[in-house]
Amino acid sequence: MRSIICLVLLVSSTALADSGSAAGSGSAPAGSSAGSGVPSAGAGSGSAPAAGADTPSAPIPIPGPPPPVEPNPAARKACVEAMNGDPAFADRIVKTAEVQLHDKLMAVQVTKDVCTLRDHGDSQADVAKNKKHVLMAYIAMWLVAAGFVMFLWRKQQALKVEIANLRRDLDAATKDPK
Amino acid sequence: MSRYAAPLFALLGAIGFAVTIWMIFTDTPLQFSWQPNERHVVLATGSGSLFFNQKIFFWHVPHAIMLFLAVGVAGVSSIGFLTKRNPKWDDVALASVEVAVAFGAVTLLTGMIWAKAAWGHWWIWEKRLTMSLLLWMTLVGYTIVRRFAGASGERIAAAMAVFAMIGVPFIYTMVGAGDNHPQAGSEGNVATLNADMRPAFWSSMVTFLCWFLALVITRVQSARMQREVRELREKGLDAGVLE
Repeated sequence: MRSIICLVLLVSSTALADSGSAAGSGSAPAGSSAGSGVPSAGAGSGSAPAAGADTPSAPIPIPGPPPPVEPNPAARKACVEAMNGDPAFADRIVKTAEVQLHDKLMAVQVTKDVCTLRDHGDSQADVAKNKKHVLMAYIAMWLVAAGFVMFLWRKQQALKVEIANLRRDLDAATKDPK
Repeated sequence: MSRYAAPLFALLGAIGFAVTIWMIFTDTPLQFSWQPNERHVVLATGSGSLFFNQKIFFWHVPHAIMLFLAVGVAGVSSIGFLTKRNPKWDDVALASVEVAVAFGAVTLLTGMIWAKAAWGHWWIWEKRLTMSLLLWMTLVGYTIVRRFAGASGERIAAAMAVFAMIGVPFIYTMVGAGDNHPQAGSEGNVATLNADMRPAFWSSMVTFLCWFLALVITRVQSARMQREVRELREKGLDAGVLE
């Protein structure tokens, strides 16, 4: 059972790992690889703006799954026998597979985080530069105020004229009772 | 009432407006906030960070408060008119309601524009927004009654103004925890306002208070002139000058 788990881990890690990085990071301890997630986020975010500075609208590609690797029955048999024969070797294999899998998953996650941060940055820039709504509110306020003042002014002018006419007619009527 | 009161308040409002605009656009910081993400602390977009759009706040909130003040003045004046039958109370009520219609229109329009910027929607049928719209429609109804209902419309309209005034405390407090609109009181936008934004906000409040007083006084003068016209017409009819 243990060997089956090991094999599954090994195959999946092999499938995820690209051929160049697998050998180098395989020997890294689990602790250092977990810690590498945070600095790599910084490194990722540091490199993303540089790329984004040239082409601000170009999306950062998220790596897709690599093509499946054809299993080698002879290598599998040899690996199973070796792991069953030496439990310490089996433990090292399991740890190596776990580390490689973790590193790859972290790399994908960091890329996603960089994309998320860039989206936030883009939204921030859009909102920060967008003066359309403030201008609309300002215009609305002035239009209503100007309309109301115009309404008041015209009403007062009409009333003044009407009062003057009525007074004139009444004065004329009282002076000339006929 | 001094004939210089309205021009004086209008002048103060104009000066205050210029000062307020200068403060809003040069002296107040942009509004933004940070929110914890699953993995990071990120700049909160959406309603969390409005940046430049938050400056609508300095017009929207003072107009809303002046709307409530105008409705309060109209309600109290209408109670005075209904109990004392003194037309001076009615003049103040009519003036206040018409000014409230103007301030309410600005409140609703700037609120809609702010909602579009903050929430992505022009209008959401939340409790405060819906009640505010109903209040504004009640005030418009008041002016329609005054315009078309004849002499008896004064008392009907006064009752409408009292009804509108009763609704104001509900509108102020009627914000649920899940609503988009900021809550009132200690949780509200005014209470939690950034200290650097407060001078501009209070300057805006004083400015629009002066503006409100200038408009109400001017409209009261118009209402008195309308009353004078009616009296002169009655005299003319009695004297046989008018038919």
